[in-house]
Formats: sequence, structure tokens, C-alpha cells
Amino acid sequence: MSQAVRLVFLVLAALTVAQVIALFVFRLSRERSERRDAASQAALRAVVFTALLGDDDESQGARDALRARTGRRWEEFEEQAFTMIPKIKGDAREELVALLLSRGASVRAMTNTRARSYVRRARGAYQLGALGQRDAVGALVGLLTDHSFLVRRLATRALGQVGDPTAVTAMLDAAERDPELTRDVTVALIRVGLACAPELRADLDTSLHTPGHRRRGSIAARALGVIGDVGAVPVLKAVLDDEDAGSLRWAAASALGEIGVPEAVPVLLRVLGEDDPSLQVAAGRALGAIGDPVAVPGLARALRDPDRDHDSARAVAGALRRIGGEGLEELERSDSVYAAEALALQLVRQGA
Amino acid sequence: MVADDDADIRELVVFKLEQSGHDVRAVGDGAAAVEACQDDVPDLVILDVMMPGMGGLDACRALRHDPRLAETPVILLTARAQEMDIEQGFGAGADDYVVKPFSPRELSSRVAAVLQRRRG
Amino acid sequence: MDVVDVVRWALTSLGIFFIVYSVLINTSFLLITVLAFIDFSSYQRRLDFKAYDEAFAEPLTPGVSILMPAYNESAGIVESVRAMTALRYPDFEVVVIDDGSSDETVPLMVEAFDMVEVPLVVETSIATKGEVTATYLSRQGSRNVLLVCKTNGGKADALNVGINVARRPLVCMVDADSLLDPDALLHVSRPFADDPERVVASGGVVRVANGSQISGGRVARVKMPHRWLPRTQVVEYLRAFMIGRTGWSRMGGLLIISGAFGIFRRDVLLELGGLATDCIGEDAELVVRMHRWLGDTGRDGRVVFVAEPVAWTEAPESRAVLRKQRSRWHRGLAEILGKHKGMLFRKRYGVVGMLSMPWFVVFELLAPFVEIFGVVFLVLAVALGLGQSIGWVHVDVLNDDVVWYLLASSLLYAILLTLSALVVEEFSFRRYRGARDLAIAIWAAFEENFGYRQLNAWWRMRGAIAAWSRSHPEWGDMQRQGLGERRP
Repeated sequence: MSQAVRLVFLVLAALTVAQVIALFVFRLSRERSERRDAASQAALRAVVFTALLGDDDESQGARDALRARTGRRWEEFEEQAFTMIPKIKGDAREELVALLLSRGASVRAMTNTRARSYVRRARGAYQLGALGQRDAVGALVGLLTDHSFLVRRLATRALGQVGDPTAVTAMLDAAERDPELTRDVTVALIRVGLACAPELRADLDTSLHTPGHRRRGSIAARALGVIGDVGAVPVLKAVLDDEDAGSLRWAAASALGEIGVPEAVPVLLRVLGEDDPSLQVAAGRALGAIGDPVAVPGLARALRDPDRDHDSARAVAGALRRIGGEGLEELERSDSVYAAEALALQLVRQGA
Repeated sequence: MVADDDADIRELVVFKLEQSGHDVRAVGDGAAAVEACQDDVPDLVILDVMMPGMGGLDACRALRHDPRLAETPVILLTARAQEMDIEQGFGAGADDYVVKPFSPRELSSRVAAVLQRRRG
Repeated sequence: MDVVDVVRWALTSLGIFFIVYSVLINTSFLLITVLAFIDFSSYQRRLDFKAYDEAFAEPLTPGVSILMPAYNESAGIVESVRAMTALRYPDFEVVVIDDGSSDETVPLMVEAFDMVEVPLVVETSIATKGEVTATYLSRQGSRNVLLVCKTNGGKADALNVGINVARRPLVCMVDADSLLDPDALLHVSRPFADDPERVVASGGVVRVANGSQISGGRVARVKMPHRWLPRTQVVEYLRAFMIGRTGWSRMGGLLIISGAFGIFRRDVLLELGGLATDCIGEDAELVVRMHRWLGDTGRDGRVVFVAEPVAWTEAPESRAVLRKQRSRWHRGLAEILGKHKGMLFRKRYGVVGMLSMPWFVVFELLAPFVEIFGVVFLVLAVALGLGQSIGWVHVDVLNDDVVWYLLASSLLYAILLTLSALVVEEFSFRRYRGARDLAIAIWAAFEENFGYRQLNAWWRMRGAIAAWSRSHPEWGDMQRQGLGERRP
């Protein structure tokens, strides 16, 4: 018994000493290598900039120098390049991507996406996104059903960067399976932009008539709103008109506000009178965003409603404020506390 | 004068503008930018909007308060290009804005254009 | 059986009890550490690929109302608020709630932020004791600083007014002396953006700022403090926050979010009726009540913890202040666990009810008692041992070798755990640099067990007793609740 205890003690003591030594070793060696890296990073950056932005001679020379790199030095360059790509646009970016592609970066990235380690697959997805080549879409769509959440997320973002509208349905499917991907999918769709609007409209239309597709529909609606697709106005109006569409209507109202066309005003005014506070808020804000004075009488009427929910009343007053002109006049006429608040905010905004 | 907390972007802008023949001074945050501008009034200031501490918008307003700097052109680097943000940017006194990610060449031409406007 | 045998049996059993308790508490903490480590590695991976997504996701980033209750804070309020306005986040407002200060807090604010009185509509969803007397809006900058003046009602009451006034979907509660990292809101609001249907509350790591360079309401350079009390607290916070909270969060059983920095969904807070004004530790009580509500309503909600260091606090440097703080914290814990004891071992409350709360009762609430009795036992054992060797005690009551080795082993186990917290830090955030700071931290890890732990246990025990005697007023002194007490 006492032997066992003594042994335990010795083991623990040894482990403790080992940990203390390990801590010092880790810290000091990491700091040293960090310093070394920072220096070489700065030098490398200078070469890269010359390659991308320099005069013809210099840049040609720098490019050749970079292309000639091998092994660890090439990896260093590739790493820095991949970090820089998302930060720039235009010729410089194309040049950088071309440099990477000329040394097979795309092929390597594709291979990474098939790796066993999820970290490498994630890196592959990230790289494919940065390279932005359309031929990567297939591989990325495949990764949308990967086991690892990180891989799915990066694949989603990469699809946004690649910008190919053929992946739209797959992305919406991914968001349906994975509530946590909602934001990533929405942002990716926004990045693809107008090119995917037709598909989004179609998908939204289907979602409207399919129960249980609220999230999918909301994503499509929000994306269409931020993209600003005027062609989506009819389907968004249809969603708003459909009383069974529930939370999907909030997204539709916001989207109509962001797109900003006056033809949405009548339907928005109509839903202001419905019994759904969130919908009222969304509609109110949308009317303010659109800014069409035609909405003023309807908003004024809504403001007079004493049973209105707090957030809704605030949204209505805010809309009148944003519309300005007649809207402000209505606010001045009104004796609602929300009107007083909105007018005071307007004064402050103008004052500065 | 360039202020951006991201070293890659900062160095990129410095490189490009120096190449175009400008003299560039770079700092890492808004407060440093305002301070540096008071020592040595620049012909143009480029500010990143999202910086820790004093961001681009606040720095721009601070510059506008100083009579010597009230006329100095300011270009904002912003990742956001929605209406309200553009409103805010111009409201803060900026002359132009460039959306990130940006093309270095485009930035350079914007700089030239703004400087031209001021001189002409 | 004679007296000696009984005594021997009693001593051995007690000894075993203390050893077992110590092993259990440390082993369970080891499991938590492993979970935390896994969480950090995956967190680090995600960071590698951060690129520019934060910026691009901005249309969908939820707005945050930062609530800062203030009571006689004229000394630092302006700087604190200014630091808050300089946070990196696309859409937020800073709401300062003045709880009837008798000093210059309000005039200073109004002047510094060029504030003008505006008739803001104050929703009264949460009933509050204090009344709102005036509301101000700043004309400066992004015009996102609000000042709400109310009659005195205590910190929880002030926060409730803040929740009523808040104009954004998320609410973040801070103290007037909180120091936040510029990206704090970005990090801690992320779970809400990623999982808007389920996440109801999220907390960030709080670290000790002592010894670091602070300027403009920010921690500029992180350094280990040299003095005994603060350096031990640094290590303690690393263990409790970085490891403890993260580990529990990963298990889905995060019980407590520190008041120094937490973000909550405003609509959920309104449904819960805001903070309780009859509790110390109202922020922790809120989270427990949130879990209760989630279980009762059967809602699928999550309370998560974000590991990135985001908030800093000035830890007490004097024993007197530390004593009050720890005593108060433990009293708060006792009150909360007592108030919600109905949640214990009920399946509907998930991991929190079945695992976290029982663990907190046995290994947090009762721990100081065990520790104090352990010390007494140790003293007794030493005395007996000495007695034996001198020859005063003529019977062999203790098998001293085993006892010493066991005690030393449990000590080493505890130290190992603290060191593993340092290892995890070395592989994740690495806020501290240099060999000197590392040496101080390691020394503190050892030193903690010889004095600090015991003192802490004593104070916590007193706190728990105070809570108990308060709910059983016929027994002993009534402790007065410190409503105006803002700093620890």
C-alpha cells in the first residue's frame, strides 16, 4: 500500500517537473520562431508587392524569383499569398492567383479537399475559395456534406467567393440541414450576387408553397434583399400576401425595404395592420427605408393606434422620420410619445 | 498618411503610393493618425474605418475639428458599402471611400483624382 | 474495540475522505481541462481561416446595446464610456444608467459627450423599483451614447431599466470599471449570429489586468503582476475562466456567466423579467434562472462561452478587499443554488440540472468547508505524528508514511492541474510573453496552495454561512446587503 502511494507521488512529481520544463521550452522557442518569421514575412511581402505592382522589369524579375522558389520557401510564399488574396482586388489579385496557379496550387487545393484530416480539407476549401476558379465548384459542393462543421462552413464561404450560381440550391440545402450555417450561406449568396437571383426567386417561390421551409425561404429572401434584386419584388410581395407564411414574411418585408421600390408600399401598409408585432416592425422599417411619401397617411393611422406594440410604434415613427417632409409634419401633429421621440432624434441628427 | 491596423494592407498602400511618387507615412490606428497629422499636415489621409481604439470615422471627425486639417482630403477604406454607411462616412467629413477588398491600382487613381480635385 | 482503534479508524476514514474528495474534484477538473483543450484547438483552427468574413457578414451582424450601470462613478465614467464607444463593431449603442448618483457623474457625462435631453420612450416590460427621471442622447460621433437617469434602486434595478431602454436585439452588461478588448463584441456576439434560433446568452473570458499597461480604457500590453495576491489571481482566473467555463460550455452545462462580460438576447431577458434585485450575484442568478426557464418551457436554447480573452478586471490587491469579494461571491453562489435547488437532478434541465448544479454544490459550494476541515485534520495529524515521534503519544495511530505521501500527492495533483491551465494558454491565446512572466506564473501555481487557497476557503466558508444564516435569521448575525457597493 505504501509502496503504491510512494509510486504515485513520484509519478506526479515527475510529471510536474516535466510540465514546468515543457512550459519554458514552448514559450521560448515559439517566441524565437515568431521573431524569425516576422522578419522573413516582411521581406517576402516586399518581393510580392514588387511582383504585383512594380514596373515591368522589376515585377517580371520578382515574379520569376517567386516562381523559382521551392520547398519550404514556396510554402511560405503560398501561405502569405493566400492570406493576402482576400484583401485585394483587380489586377493585383489576378496576378497573385496566376502565380499560384502556375505552380499547381489549384490541384494541390483539390487534393487537400480529399484528405483524411479535417484540417487539411478545411484548408483545401479555403484555398479553392481564394483561388476563385469555377472548376472548384464541384469539389466544394461535395464538401457541403462533410462530417466536420468547419469544413462545411469554409466550403460555403468558398462558394461565395467563387461566385458560381450553379451552387445555389446546394447551399440552401446545406443551410436547411445545418441551422448554424445560416449566416454563412446568406453571406455567400450575397457575394455571388445578382447572378444567383433567378434561382433564389424560384427557390423562394417553392419554399412559400412548401411547409417547413421557413429558414430556407428566409435566407433566400434576405439575400435577395441585400443583393437588391428588383426582379424579386413580385415573389416577395406574394410572400407578404400569404398569411400562412409566418416568419418568412418578416424576411420578405425587410427585403422589400432594402430593395426600395415604391410598388411594395401598398402591401407593406396592409400588413402593418396585421396582428404580428415582428411583422409590423419589419414592415414599418421597410416603409422608412423605401422613403415614399405615399406611405405617410397609412403610417400616421398606424401611429394613432393605441394598442400598438412598443417596438412596432417606434418603427412606425421611425419610418415617418426617415421619409421626411410630410412624414415629419405628421409626427409634429401627432401626440404619440413615439412621435416626440422620433422628432427629438431627428433634431439631434440634424444638429451635428 | 495611411492608417490601418492590418499590416498587409498598410504596407500594400504604402508600396503602391510610393511607387506612384507620393511620400507616405503609415500608422496603425486612428489616434496615431490624428497625432501625426498635427505634427506634419499631409496632402491626403487614408483611414481604415474598422480599427481598434479610434476608428476611421472618429479620426476623420477629429481631423475636421482641427482648422489646419479641415480642408485635407480624406479617403475612407471600408468593408461596408451600404447606403447608411456611405452616408455616415460623408457625414463624418470624408471626401471619398474605397471598399475593401480594393484594387491597389484603383486606390492609386482615386488618390490622384482627389488630389487633382483639390488643386484644381 | 478500544478507544485507540476507534480513533485510528476515525482518522483513517477522515483522511481517506479528504483524499477521495481531493481526487474527485481534481479529476473532474482534469476532464473539464481536456474538454477545454479540445475546444481551443478547434477554435484555433477556425481562427486560421478567419480571413475577412467578419467584415463581410456585417449586414447580418446583430445590434448590441451595452448597458453600464453607474453609481457615483465620476472618477472614471467618461473614460470608461469613451472606451466603450471605440469598440470595433458595426452596430451598437452604449446605455449608461445612472442609479441616482449624488456626485458629478451625470453633469460630467452630459458635458463630455455633448448630450441633450430627449424624450425617449421607456418601455416598462420589466417592473423596476427606481423611476426614470430623464433620458439623454449624445450629439457626438455615431450618436450612440445614451444616458438614463433614475432614482436609486441598486445595480440589478439599474440594469433592468437599461434592458427596458435598450434599442437593440442583444444586450451586453458591463461594469463601469470593465476593460474590454476592441474586438470583444465581435467575438462574444458571434454565437448569436451563427445560431440565432438557439443561443440565448453568451459569455466571454475575464482576465486579470493587474500588472499590465492600461491606456485609454484598454489593456495595451499584457504582463504578469509581481505582487502575491494579484499574481495568484491571474493563475486562478486562467483556471476558472479559460478552462472551467470553456469546459462546461462544451458539455452544454455552463452555469455561470460572469457579470463582467456577458451578452444576452433582449427578448429572452424581457420574458424572464430581467435580473433579480434580491440577490447578490444577480448576473449569475440570471443565467441559472435562464436555464430553469429553458427547461420549464422545453425550449431548445444554448448558453455558450467564447474562449477568446475579451474582458479584463482589476483584481483586488489587498487582503481586505479580496476577502469581501470572495465572501460575497460565495454567499451569492449559496443564495443562488439555494433559490434554485429545485433544479437539482431534474432531467428537464439537462446537463445543467443533472451535472453542473450538483457538481457546483459538492465541489464549489461545499469545497471550502472540506478544505478548512482538511486543514484542521492536517494540523491534528501533524500534532499526532510529532507526538508519536517524541514519545508523548504511546500508540501508533497513524501510518505516517502513507499519509504524507497521500497529502503530497494530492497537492501535486492540484498543482499539475493549474500548470495544465498554463499549458493550454501556451497553446492558445498566448497573451503573456517572456520567460520572466512565465516564471512568475509557475511560481504562483505552486505558491497558491500554501496560504492563498486556505485563506480563500476560510472567506468563502464565511460567505456561505452568511447566506445560510440570512435565510435562517433566527440563527446569528444578519448581514446587511450592500446595495451601493459597486467595486469589490
